[in-house]
Amino acid sequence: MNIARVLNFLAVLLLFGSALAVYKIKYEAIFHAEDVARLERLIEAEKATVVMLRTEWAKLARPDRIEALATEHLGLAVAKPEQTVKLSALPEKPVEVDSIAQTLESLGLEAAAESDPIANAIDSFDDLGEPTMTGSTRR
Amino acid sequence: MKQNLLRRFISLFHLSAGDDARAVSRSRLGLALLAFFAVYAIVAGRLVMLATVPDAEIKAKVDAEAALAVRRPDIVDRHGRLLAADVVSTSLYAEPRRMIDPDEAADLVMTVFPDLDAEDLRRRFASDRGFEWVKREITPEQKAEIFRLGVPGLGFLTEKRRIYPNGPLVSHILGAVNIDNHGIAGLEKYLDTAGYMVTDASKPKPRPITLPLDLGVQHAVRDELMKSMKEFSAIAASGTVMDVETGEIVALVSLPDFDPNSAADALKPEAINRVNVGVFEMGSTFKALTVAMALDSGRIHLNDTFDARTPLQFGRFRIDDFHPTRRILSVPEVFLHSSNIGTAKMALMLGVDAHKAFLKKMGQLDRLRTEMPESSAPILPQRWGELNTVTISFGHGIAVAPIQTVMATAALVNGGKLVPPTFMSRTKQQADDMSPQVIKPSTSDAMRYLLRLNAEKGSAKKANVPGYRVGGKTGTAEKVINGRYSKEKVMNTFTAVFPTDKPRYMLLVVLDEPKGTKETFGFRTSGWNTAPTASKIIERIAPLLDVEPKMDTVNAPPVMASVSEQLR
Repeated sequence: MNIARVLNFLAVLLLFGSALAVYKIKYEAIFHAEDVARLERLIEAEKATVVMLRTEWAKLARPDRIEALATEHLGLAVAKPEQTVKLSALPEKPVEVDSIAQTLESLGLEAAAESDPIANAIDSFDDLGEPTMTGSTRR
Repeated sequence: MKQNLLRRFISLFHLSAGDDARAVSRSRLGLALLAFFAVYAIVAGRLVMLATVPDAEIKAKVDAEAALAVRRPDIVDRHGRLLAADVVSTSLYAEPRRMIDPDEAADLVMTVFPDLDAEDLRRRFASDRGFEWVKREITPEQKAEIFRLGVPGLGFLTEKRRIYPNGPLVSHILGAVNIDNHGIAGLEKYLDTAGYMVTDASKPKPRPITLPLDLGVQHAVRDELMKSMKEFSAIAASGTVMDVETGEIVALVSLPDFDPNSAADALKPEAINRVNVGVFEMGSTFKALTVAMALDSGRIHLNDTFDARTPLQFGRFRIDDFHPTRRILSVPEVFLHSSNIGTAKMALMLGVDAHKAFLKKMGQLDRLRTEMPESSAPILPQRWGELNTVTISFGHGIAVAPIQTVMATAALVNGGKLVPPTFMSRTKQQADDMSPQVIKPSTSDAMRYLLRLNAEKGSAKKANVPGYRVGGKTGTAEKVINGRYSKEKVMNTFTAVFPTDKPRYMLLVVLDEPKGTKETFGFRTSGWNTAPTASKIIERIAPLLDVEPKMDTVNAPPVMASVSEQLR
């Protein structure tokens, strides 16, 4: 085998191979570009839809429309100044006082205050069964 | 040396006859190889260049239609509610040169758009032009129908259309745009010139513009104005709410108004912006300026008195009060009873030059320019003598735009700074930096007191809303008809400030030619129509503007009682 011939053959193979590679790259690039263009069109369409929806929302949330609906269906009216109150104007939440425990303490029955016979009795019941509900939800 | 190389180079090709044939073909092969190598090197080099350095020319060729569309920014109010946005819309065009049957094309187009002119359409399609608009901004359904018709020579272009979802609610502030999305009035026109537009399609969309406008306040003002206009049969009305510290316009309504979605209406003559454009004699609301001038000069104090027993006589002109009290009045009483005589005497005491200088300082003698492209210059007397000073002191003889009254009254109550009104956002710091001090803070305190007293005991009683410490001044100005003051036609104004203990907002209500009604006992003065309108507006907008109601405020101290005791 002539080394020159082998090299010649390899060179030809390389020629065809490189041509194929170039065409492959070219068409892949075209495909990707088309994909990008398609995605960009979709994005534009979505953005346009978003804008349309925002304007629709704004139209539906117009103050005069809401006022008409609120007056007709909810019976709301203009707020009077007396109806506006600041949170700081509300009275402080009263401190929870356990008056019974205090009474027991003042009477000197701390031991009794600490042990709650009724609670102990309830705890001693092992099985109370299903808690029943008050009211008319059960027949 | 060089010659030798050159000879050797040429001898490579051996093109001269008589050389060895094989050597010649080998050298020619070498030449061909060199040529191909050079070509491939150029191609490879260009590929590398294209891959690494971006080509601006290629980008600019993208989308011819993008060049048509001017990208406008969204406009939102101070709470982010949408006021104006661009929506994608399709426009139909024709290429008459490429039409096969123009008559058939015209007929088919008429089936979808029956309101177009058929003759005009046929004529234009039969012409040889390359591009003709058929209909701009068509709906998606119409676009689908035209597409289904399959007429050769028709095409679509996507354009941007400006949508104003709130309709006529916000009209004069926004203005309008024409079919090419260029502003033709209001802030839209201002945005064109102020560089907010983006015409380059490759740049991203501009950021939304936040206005100081409050849509809820705007609606409340418009609603109440429409009701009052109907109740008092006025021919026009306007209302302005401004932040006294920053000069931001929170609401501006001028009736009759228009829907910015139909741009043609924006330029109708009756839909003018009656706050910025159009000058009027403001009447007694001007008295606040005169009293402020008097107090600021230091020559007149709150306890000073003026003789209002007899009318003033100036040649053939007689100045009298509308409700003559025929007694001596203190300064607060002059204000409360809106005495022309008292105010005129105050102005005369200061003199013509001082009066003129004060009004110029307060911006009443010059055109007030805002972001609105529309503005008006005030009408001033050609020769300004004592009589002019007298009449101008109570608001006649000089015509100013209502926006100037808004600016001046705000300066009277915000500590004395003349803040120019603005329709765009502005911080308090920016306002402080650009506002001159025009009256002393102590004068401003006195004016707040007088305005509050007026709302408790004076002509502005009907404007008082319990809890919001409202202060105000009425103004009933007779209109000039055919060169004479008319007794029947008046223009009523009311300037309101709230809360007067620490003023934040001011409201100007104007009613043009209101009539007396049964409820007002036939009276058409400002205290009967604009003052109650102002109270209804303030009741609605104060909670929206975060003004806290205080139900247990102490009323303004009765200075009058002590003064009248002194006189007794």
